[in-house]
Amino acid sequence: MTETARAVLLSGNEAIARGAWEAGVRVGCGYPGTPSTEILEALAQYPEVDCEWSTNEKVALEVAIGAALAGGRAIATMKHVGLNVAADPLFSVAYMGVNAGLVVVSADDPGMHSSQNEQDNRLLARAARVALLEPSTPQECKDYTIAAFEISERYDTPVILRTTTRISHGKGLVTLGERREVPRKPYRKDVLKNVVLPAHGRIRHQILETQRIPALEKEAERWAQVFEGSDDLAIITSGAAFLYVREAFPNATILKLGMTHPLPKTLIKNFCQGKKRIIVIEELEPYLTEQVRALGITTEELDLPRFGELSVGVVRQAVERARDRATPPPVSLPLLPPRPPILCAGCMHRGVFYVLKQLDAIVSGDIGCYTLGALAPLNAMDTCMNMGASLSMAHGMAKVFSEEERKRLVAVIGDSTFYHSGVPALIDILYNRGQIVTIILDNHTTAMTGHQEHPGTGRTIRGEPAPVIELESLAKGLGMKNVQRVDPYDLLAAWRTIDEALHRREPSVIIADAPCVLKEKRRFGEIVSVDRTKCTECYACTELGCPAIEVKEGHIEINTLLCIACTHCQQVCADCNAGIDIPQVLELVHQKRYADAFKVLMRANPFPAVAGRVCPHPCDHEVNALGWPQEKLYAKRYPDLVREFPTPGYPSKLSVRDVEKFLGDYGIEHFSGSEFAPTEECPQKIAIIGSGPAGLSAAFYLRRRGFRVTVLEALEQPGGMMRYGIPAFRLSKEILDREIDRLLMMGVEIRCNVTVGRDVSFAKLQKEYDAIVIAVGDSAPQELELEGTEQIREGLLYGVDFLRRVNRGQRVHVGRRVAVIGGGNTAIDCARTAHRLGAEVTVYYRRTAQEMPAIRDEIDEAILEGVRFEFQTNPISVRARDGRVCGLELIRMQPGPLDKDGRRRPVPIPESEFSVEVDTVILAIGERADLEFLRGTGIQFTEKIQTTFMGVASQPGVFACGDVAFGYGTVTQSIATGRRVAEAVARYLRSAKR
Amino acid sequence: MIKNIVIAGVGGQGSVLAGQIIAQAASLAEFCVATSEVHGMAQRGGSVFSTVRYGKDVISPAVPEGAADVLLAFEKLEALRYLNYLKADGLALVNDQRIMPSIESLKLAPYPDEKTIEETLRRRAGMVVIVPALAIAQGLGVPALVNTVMLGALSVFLDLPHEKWHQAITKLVPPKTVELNLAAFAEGVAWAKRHLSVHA
Repeated sequence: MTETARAVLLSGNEAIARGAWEAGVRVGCGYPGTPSTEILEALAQYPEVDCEWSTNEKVALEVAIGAALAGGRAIATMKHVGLNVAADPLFSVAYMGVNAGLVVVSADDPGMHSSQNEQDNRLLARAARVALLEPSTPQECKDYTIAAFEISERYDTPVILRTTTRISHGKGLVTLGERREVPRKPYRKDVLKNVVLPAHGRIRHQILETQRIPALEKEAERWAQVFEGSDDLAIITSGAAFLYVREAFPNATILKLGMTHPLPKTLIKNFCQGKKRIIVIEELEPYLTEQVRALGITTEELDLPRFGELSVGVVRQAVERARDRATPPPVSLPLLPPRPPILCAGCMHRGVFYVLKQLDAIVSGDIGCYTLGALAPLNAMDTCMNMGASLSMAHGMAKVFSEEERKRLVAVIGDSTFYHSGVPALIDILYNRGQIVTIILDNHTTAMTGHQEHPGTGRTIRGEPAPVIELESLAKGLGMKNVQRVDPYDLLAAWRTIDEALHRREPSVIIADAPCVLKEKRRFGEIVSVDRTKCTECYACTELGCPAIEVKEGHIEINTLLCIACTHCQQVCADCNAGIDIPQVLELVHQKRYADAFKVLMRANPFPAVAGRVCPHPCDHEVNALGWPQEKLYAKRYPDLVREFPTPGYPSKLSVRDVEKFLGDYGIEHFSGSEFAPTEECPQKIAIIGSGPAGLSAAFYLRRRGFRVTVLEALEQPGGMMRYGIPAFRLSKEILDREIDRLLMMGVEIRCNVTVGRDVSFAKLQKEYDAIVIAVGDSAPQELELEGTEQIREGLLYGVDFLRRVNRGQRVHVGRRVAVIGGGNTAIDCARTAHRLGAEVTVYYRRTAQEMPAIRDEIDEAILEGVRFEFQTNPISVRARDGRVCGLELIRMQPGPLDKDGRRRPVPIPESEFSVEVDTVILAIGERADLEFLRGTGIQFTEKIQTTFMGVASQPGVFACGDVAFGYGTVTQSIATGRRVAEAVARYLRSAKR
Repeated sequence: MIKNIVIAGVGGQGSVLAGQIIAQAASLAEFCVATSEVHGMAQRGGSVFSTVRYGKDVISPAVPEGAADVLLAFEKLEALRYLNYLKADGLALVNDQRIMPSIESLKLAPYPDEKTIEETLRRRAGMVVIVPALAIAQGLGVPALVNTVMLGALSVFLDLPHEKWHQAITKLVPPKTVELNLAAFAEGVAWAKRHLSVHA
């Protein structure tokens, strides 16, 4: 059969609609649900049919039953779980019977492509005692639909037409016919039939079982088809399974059943007579199998799965009991990143879920696009069960929850879902004195199923104007006192509204109101772009899970094809080195909720008292890396905080770092660290090499997750650069100790004086531990070739060594005059330390002042203290007397050719040499990693250990973080990488456990 | 003889429409046709897979694993994901485009490198043709034409008459875009013919 004027390619759903139309249907009702949605959408194209999206499937079926009772053919369409909602009228109308024909379409979803389960609704048809038809092709979809109306009227029964995704969404050729204008049946009052009083029902039930079912059994014979084949194999099948069977066994004898409730028992028995090998092939439940066996027929045991879809391969394998010979052995594929559906770029749901994550909410969710809020990285849903369950489940949870849990509990439901079945639950909450906070996500459409209309959109299924049942009025009309609206694109406003509602001991409804961005394609403003000079690569923006935010070679990039400038990421970005949720912290401090603020801080940075003293505070940019004017907003929102924490020298500018310092000190006073101990222990052991900020951060976040963490430190005390690099006048060792103590209170084990590669081999660690994190930092100095250094015994030092000695409490003689070579933080720390040891210090740097990479504050402090700076100078040679440094030869520099990093390389100005007298030369031109201990292990490294952006190294179970892998060079950025690697280690260990 | 084609792509690339055009062209050419698709999650950036079968007597739209004559892939990662549907020595026709999955996905596994992609495809396909369809579409000024370019390339490997393709495209694409789509189709045909003559 090929496409002609009368035969076209239609999907199963389109064919059902066409069949209903040709059968003279007058009324079509349904609720959107994949894979059934297109049936009603197609049917609504025909002007003769009165179609509506009903509030839910129960209402849809009841409306259709009413129409059929009144004498007009009616059809109700829904997905499999929709039939659960419509089960009450279904079971009742089975007793009542019909007047004009009534067809109910149940579009099942084996494989759960877009459903909460894969229930087999053939069982429901049997339980309800109604006729059931299972078409296999689009042509049968049409033909069976037409026949269903006739069967319904002839046998006085509703008829379920059951499809599956394969059939609903598959296309095939369908011959078209004309519409039969079926005259309306007259309506006659028939109380015994249509009023289901017990006395009537008993009679109706008997009629059903003694008359209707046997008659239908006879009718079922007309819908059985036998495909004659060889004697060896006789297969009984139906629906989509028939398609696979026909492909897999073209020579077998097949009994294809079209009506599968009731079954044509006699015909089946006759078919099986004399057959040697009888098998039943069906998807999901052994519905046919059990009934066939109940007839006394022996069918072969098959290894067919009760879950998932069938396929030709699965069917062949089940029958032949051996690996299917026809299919080639599968190509082994590398592990592929999955590509599941996710919330669209700019989706309004994302804003709400991000806020719920900030609030650490317990979320009772519901069915819709927003169910995707459960996925990483939002992870903002605890439960989702069925349509409308969010409110009622939350109400139930609250009855058992503690006070603390109740204060975090939220129900989240979509607009269409709320109309569907949220209203009765809301009534229950109000009537039974619940205190639930309900958030209605109103995106003005039924989105997931393809943007259908609903009672709140103001349009009918045909797009005609319709009254709006307004959500706010509805809630208030029910008696809800607290009804608020929020803009899900204003994260702080949403946070304040939801937080406030959670603290009230009253029920409330919050309507997050913004249209679906797919339906109303709009651009909010300029597409976001990343200012790389400001981006700290803290990855806080990635916590949103927006598909437009990408990571390429570790850098954050915005996909300009996807971004619609919704501003979410711009509001989340705070230019924080550690990725702290600064907006939430500031709001909590403003509300004087210091303990809460401290806990939010600790989610990103376990060393706030340290960071509050040494961080270079990039957070004070006027405009952040994503283009948001954050400074203005802080000053506008929190004049009280500006007064309490002004920036030194800029009294109208908030010093976020000082807020962090304040909270860090608060945390030291009020938290011992045991508050962060894990609630559940995991037996897996992790070794972390290096106790600098990266290593200790990884230790904190891994311990928090319950793993057993051992930190191995080569020096005598933990802290790395925090202790041995940063001088005490910048960071008191006591403060550092108190923050490290917290880790010990949590159960982190720190072992000092252990050098990996000397005291224990890396290979031994790999055997003893389930995962290893390398966080050794850049502990060795970059060396500088200088003439005249061979004879020197005293007076020439490397910066890191110098600082380490001083920070260890050793006495270091530097003499009267000190030259520090370099321009980074180490150089400045050395200069200020040497100055405090009584010397006159000059820092020589080969580039200009503006190019100096050290923290600006530190340079300013150094200048105020009296340290001198000479720019564009480079040392050539050192002069010594009796092995002791006495002088330094330098040359002046100028910008030369462009380097590959975009900077001009300084080159010497010829004949500009000059000499100075010094007692000590400190070389602080940079640090590098000492990776000797990794030689021979096979782990890939060059100057840094090679890792993914998450810190995964080249061998399974080996990870790296901090400067040894990322080289950001600051305490706070290293802390961020430690937290990131903890996530990767946890993921690895969780999958290794299986 | 039944021709089995599986189509893999990312939601939004037009791979579903492409399948419908193939089905329509085959139907116009008097073949029996059956198709299947898993859409619905497509608009939310998910992986999309569909099948087209045409021949004298086609009932089932399902293509068994290892039975597809052609794997038409609009994106490279998806080409790998569905590679096992291709029959041994079948034709893999792959658009030269990489669409990154989400960061969370990449935390689970990296996007395979070009070498791995080519090698893996060759372990099943007898012929691997990487079509620069996105570049060609961009050259026409409309990146969305990528699917029609791919169809043009595909048509060189199938036995459906040229006019049937034209009719199918004209029938199924938005009326205002018919001309552009036909131009894109022609570009795909031309590229494939050149490629074949070079690599024959």
